[in-house]
Amino acid sequence: MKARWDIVLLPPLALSVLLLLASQIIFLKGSLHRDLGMGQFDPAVGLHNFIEIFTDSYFVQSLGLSIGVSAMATVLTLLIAFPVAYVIARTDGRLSIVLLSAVVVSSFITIVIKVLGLMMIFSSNGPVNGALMALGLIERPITIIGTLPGVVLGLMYYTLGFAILLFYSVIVTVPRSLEEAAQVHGASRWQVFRQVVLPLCLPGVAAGGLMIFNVSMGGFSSTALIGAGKVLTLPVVIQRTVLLETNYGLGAALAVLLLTVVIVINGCSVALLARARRGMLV
Amino acid sequence: MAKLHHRTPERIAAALVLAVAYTVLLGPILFVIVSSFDYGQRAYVVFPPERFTLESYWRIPDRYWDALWNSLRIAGLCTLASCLIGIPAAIGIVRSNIPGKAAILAVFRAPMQIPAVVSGVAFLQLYYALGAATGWYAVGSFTGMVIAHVFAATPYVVGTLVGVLQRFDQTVEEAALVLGASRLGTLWQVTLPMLKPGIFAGALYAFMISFSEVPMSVFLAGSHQVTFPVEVFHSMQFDFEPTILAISTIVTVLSLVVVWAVQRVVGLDKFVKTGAAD
Amino acid sequence: MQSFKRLMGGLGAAAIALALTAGTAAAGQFDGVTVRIGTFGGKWRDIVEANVAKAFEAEGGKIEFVLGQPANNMAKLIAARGQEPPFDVLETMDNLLPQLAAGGFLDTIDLTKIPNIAKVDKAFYDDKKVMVWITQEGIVYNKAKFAEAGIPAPTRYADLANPKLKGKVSLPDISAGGAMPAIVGMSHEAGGGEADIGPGLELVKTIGPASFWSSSSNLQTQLASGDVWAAAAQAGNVQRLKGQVDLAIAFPPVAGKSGVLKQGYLVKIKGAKNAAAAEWIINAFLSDQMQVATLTAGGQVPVSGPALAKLRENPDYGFLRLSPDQLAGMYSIDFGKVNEAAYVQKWNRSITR
Repeated sequence: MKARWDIVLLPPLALSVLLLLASQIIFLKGSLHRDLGMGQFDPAVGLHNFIEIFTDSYFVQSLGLSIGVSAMATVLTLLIAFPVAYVIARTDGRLSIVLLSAVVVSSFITIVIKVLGLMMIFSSNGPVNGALMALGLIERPITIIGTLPGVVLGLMYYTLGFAILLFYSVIVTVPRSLEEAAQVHGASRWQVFRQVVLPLCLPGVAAGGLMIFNVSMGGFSSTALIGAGKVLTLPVVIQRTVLLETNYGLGAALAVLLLTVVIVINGCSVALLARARRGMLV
Repeated sequence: MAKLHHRTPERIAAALVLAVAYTVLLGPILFVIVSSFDYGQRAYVVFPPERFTLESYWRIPDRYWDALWNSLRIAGLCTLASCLIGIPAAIGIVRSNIPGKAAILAVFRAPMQIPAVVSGVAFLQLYYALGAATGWYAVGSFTGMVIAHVFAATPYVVGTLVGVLQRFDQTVEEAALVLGASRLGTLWQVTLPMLKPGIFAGALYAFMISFSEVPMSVFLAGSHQVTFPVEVFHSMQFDFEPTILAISTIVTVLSLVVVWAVQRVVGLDKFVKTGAAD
Repeated sequence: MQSFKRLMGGLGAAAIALALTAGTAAAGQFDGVTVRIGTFGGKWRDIVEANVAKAFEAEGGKIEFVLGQPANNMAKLIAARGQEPPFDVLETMDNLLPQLAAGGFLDTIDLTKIPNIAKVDKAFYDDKKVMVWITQEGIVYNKAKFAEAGIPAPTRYADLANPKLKGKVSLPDISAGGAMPAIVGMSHEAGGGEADIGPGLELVKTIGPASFWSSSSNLQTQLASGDVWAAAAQAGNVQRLKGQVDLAIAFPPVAGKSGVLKQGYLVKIKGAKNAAAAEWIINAFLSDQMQVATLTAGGQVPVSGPALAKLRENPDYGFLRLSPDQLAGMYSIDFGKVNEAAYVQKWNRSITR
């Protein structure tokens, strides 16, 4: 019985490994060679690029910044997406379809255009600042352009729609009858959510959370546009190193660093979660 | 069965969460739609709009339509291929007892965290190396774009389904018990219906990734085929054109029409709701 | 405006007449030839299509566009090293020329096949590159907002450090087209230069801009909405935002000159399949029709004498410097002393700290 699933897994795995190796290996092997400019390399293998990365606090700082904004974006997305997905999943009839459709439709516009929309919404005389100032909550207009919160918001844009759909598909697998049973025994809706739904969905939430984090770690477009050149996360630095400095060796080494760190973070999370809930795979 | 009942504070909390999420999701899009009706021969956006005209819509250049059609074809193929790879991959990972599952999953997930600029340059290098070896150049070709998009989109299909299957596996007994189904019946009556929303979400996102990807696609677009968001990106880099807002509005309306059509023909609820969980 | 339309019509007709009577232009001389141009997308591509590609098609040829920012297109070229390049002709910018030359990507251009080169200042071309447009870089500012806040019109980059402008200034990001002119301009002003941008980066920190712009659409939207009052940017923004905000451009003194030029070039790529038609295409970029459209439709300043002369008569373009003397009075960056990679590294670190 079990062996059959191995056979199902092997072809897609072989294909994915092939695609991953074939595409990345030419680029990443540049990390082991001294860059001679314009994509040319010294044939001698060495760790020159990695030494450069680790002897310069700037790159480590940039990595730290990436992890920070990605973690914040992940937490924020989880906090919004999971409750929303839960409400949709437990809403009956037409309304749930409308809510889901809205999520789908919102994902079709490219982030480049959405950023333009965000700029107008958060303009100093735009609706957000207008409302906040009218309510007396702020004295001076706030902006998201060139700020850390703005970059986090931009990353959230990238993953929120996906996260809602993902959590929705996880939550609908939780039988409603379990919740009903709990409620019959006097639990409040909040208690049901916290003590029944959340624990049952935890593997899905963890898987989703890690996905959001991974996507955020690689995020570029919204960070570059909303960060306005002030928030230099590692993907932004890599883009500059490759395109503007044409230093493919250092760019590849930074990509290796980013990949390694993300894989390590994923591995640690899996190990931690597995300890919390034996046998679970995220 | 007792109906789930709501209390007022819970209703308010739910409404608040929905309000925040949908304002965030739909705000910029509403802005785009409203602004698209304000046309001027100018390089900037004005909000709120100063007039109402459909002129932007008449002036949409052909290159946007060509790119849109191209993007739809690429995204369609990419979705199909991503599902063909991703669905068996996800089921295989969760159900098999192959060692090193976490590592295998990391391989499937890797394309997500590779910065798109790296993937773009990497595929460009791969295609040239392949061309030198075989004489077939995927650079700037439709096939080359689809392959790269499949690379970027498959992790979403795998990730979604692993999430769903994980949850499912743990409660398979509970669910079967609730339904009073046999083991075999569970597989057909519970597993597959339960996977449907996951497949739907994964496929949808594979489509969306392909349909909105910019930083990788700018390297792989060629003289014969440019994707829609890349075309928009190029326009935005040189000079803003009000027609960008018009064509973006049309894309939004088109996606609404597709969602509506799916709902009418197949029933979106059949896709996203599972009959088994109630 | 009426007279300007007539002028445009006249120029168009003149260009067609010129094309018809030109001795070298035997009909169908490029039958079946396809030339690939690496260039910008959006509206610029439409302009090239209308003013260059159409004429080439009349000769039996066809132009294909490989779109991308200059740095992206250079990456495509690097990936194709040793094989057939992705395009035959590349439109690029001054700051990338040293890298393209060092990489051995530039082919020699046969200037004798470009009759329109006679209309261009000799300083603007050699046998490896031909300049086809320039932008005039300085400080673009919102006149009304400055007057309201009682801020005098800026004359130097350092004026952007005025506390009253806090949160209202945007400078070009290092990845933006306007980066080099702004960095070099500020460095000269602060006592450095191409070889020493340290003082310029210090000035950037002193100014402490609200944002570093990289997309001109986004900058223009912020200028139009009043979120940005002043930006180091090119003069074309004044024209593009006309009717919404009253902008002006100030050209700060730079090493004895005023304002900085950014230059756009066409180069012929080594190993290109259809190199023969490249000179014809470059010539077409220098035609009066294309050169005038470069400004009227594209917002960049042309380089050919006749086009500049015609445009000088139009008061709409009074804010630009269109006479040979004025152009010579603007600072051209010495890219021999520029190390772009080092600039990027210094910039990134200076911004982060």
